[in-house]
Amino acid sequence: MKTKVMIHTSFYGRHEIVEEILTFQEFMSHTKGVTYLLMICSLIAITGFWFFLTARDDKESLR
Amino acid sequence: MSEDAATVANKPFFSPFNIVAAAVMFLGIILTVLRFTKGLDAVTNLSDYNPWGIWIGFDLLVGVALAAGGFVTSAVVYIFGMKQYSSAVRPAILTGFLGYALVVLALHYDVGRPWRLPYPFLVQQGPTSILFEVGACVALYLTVLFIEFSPVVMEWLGFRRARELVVKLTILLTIFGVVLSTLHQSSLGALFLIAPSKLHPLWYSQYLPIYFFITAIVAGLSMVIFESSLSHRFFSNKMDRVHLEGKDVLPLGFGKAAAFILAGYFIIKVIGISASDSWHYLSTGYGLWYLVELLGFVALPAFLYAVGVRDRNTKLIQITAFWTVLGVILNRFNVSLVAFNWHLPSSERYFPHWMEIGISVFILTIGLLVYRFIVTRMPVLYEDKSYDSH
Repeated sequence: MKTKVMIHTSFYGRHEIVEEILTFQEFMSHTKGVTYLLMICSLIAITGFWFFLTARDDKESLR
Repeated sequence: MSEDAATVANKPFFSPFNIVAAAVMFLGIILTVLRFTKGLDAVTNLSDYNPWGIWIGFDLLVGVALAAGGFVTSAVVYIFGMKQYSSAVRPAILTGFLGYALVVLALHYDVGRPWRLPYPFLVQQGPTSILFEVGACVALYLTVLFIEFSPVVMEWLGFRRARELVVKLTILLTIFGVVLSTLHQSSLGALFLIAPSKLHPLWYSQYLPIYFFITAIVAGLSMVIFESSLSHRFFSNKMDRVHLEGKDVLPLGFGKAAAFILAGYFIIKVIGISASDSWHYLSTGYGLWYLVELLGFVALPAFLYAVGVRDRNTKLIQITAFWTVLGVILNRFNVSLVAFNWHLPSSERYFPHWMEIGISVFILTIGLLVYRFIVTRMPVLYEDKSYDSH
């Protein structure tokens, strides 16, 4: 099988091998896996942000 | 002489604003003649590589986004029933109407041959094109905004029966406005889906239509807050008690909504990077510029809006609204100009000709002058007591 290696130029001009992704299946598994983890973190973070945004509303309504 | 007429009469005609506006108008008329007699080449730096310049990037993309306050505010008041913001509806619809009207005007400069404007509808339809959908929605929504704003003109002219008829259509027009805006705001982003090889991977995403739609809502909310703060500063003598009392209510409510939507937008932008696996681009020069946009003009205003709402700090919310408006302008510039054709050598990159900038400033000045003309004469910032509120 032909190996596909992703190379990119970094900010300092060096060529670096970032990762090896051989097939589209691997690409989707990798990106979806990372995205699912991010989604879990995001849901927790947005809940925290909502509490931060509305915390004083609740205190005022209790007064 | 009425109080309003006396106020207008007391203002000096040769004010700094009027002098600058007159100079811009004079220059703009000359540039307009040049554009329509000598062609695009005489006044622009457009080329085959860069057929869309700031007349599309700024006048159209930014203009449509910042005019979103009309559909956002009318939806908040008439669909979600938050009547406490009703004083913001008329100024927002006026801004939306002027914004869209100026978008169409600016499009004439870019496209040329104004008499062919109805061609996409009457002569050569292109229903499979996203651009056709944008054109159709903008034309229909401009008509909707005109009808939505017409009660103000009718009250001014004393057309009582016609005004009553149009007011009965308010809910229907609001629904039309939301539907049409959802369609074309997202389609403006979808236009760039056709150019995956030209747009930098950090800005190119399958979610571009969603990004454009969400930023349009944020732009609409922020623009209404920003415009309201300017109106309270320059036209407070034209406001009635309801409008004056809404000075703090509007920023707190709209600021809270903008904070939460910006936070959601930040998340889906990060999800977009993850879905396309573009993380490695973040360490490049374009990546740093992307981070400036994402952290400085999305995450920062989301946090500042939240702090402003928590602390009941309307000044902070108004400053954040201005910052967010700048962020939306930056985003549209990045997508349409900065990150577009990013692979080209610098000699082939586009930078606007001063005459292109001059025409954009000319169109913006027309908007400011018409807005001032209407607000100082018609019941936009106050309610005419002889009519029922709707």
